[in-house]
Amino acid sequence: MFAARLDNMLESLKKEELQLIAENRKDEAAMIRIRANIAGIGKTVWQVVERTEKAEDWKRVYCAKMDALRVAWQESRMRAEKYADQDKVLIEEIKLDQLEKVLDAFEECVA
Amino acid sequence: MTEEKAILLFKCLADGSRLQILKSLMREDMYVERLAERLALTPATISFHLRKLEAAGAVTSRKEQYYTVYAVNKEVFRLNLLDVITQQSGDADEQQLREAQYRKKVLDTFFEYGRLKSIPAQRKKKRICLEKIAEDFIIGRPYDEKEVNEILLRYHEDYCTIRRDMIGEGIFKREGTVYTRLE
Repeated sequence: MFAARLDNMLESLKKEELQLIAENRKDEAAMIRIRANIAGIGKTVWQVVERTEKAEDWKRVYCAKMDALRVAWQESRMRAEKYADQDKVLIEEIKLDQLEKVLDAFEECVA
Repeated sequence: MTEEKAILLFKCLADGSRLQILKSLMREDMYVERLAERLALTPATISFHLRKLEAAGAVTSRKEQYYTVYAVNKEVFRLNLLDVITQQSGDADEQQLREAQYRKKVLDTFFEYGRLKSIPAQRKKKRICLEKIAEDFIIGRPYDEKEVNEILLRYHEDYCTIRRDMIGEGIFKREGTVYTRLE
């Protein structure tokens, strides 16, 4: 059910990306592609957890793995802020925002 | 306007959102949140586009109380396209420009926030990075090894390899434990 939800998310993001490209808004399309990559990561991590962990550990292990990603991207955003790299700050914020969307979907499906 | 600046401007303008931003600014000067509201984009996305427009010279900014207000730089848009395409670029200029662009690409790839992310394997790229690091040293001035290591450590933890490669590439010379940057 969660995997299907992520597939819907990916499909929706792909449509949005294509629409933006059609409107000659390539930079914003690239931002949506970043979101799609994060949703893709969320799906891959889930598939690995489902395959390798016991069902009672799925939630704990998945959240731990996604949390590790969150910490890494927060650190990256902080470094970018420190060096006033505004484009990098934006990218890390997009990644973190999409990560939260993936986790919200997870909570709804698996809670 | 140089060819390089013209290309940068044209690339910047080849975006639907940035054209909409410029059209909005033609009506009146605006700050980020106002543009975001008008164009139904997030302030972060608007700021992203404004940075590109400002770098290309298409917009200017000024501080007004708490806000940064943006305006179209009309001078740039009075550019005569015929002037750009009739301008002759010398072969030497083109060659220099290509080299400068290549150098910038290498430095952008291998440096992050002033530190070397990794030492390039390819000799040409490594030399460009070493030359960049060497700018921290005064030509002809002797440095003892400790000083050299401290400066190189700012760039990468493997200061020994960098120091050795600087000598190998003829950027530094070493006499005992004294190093000098060569011209």
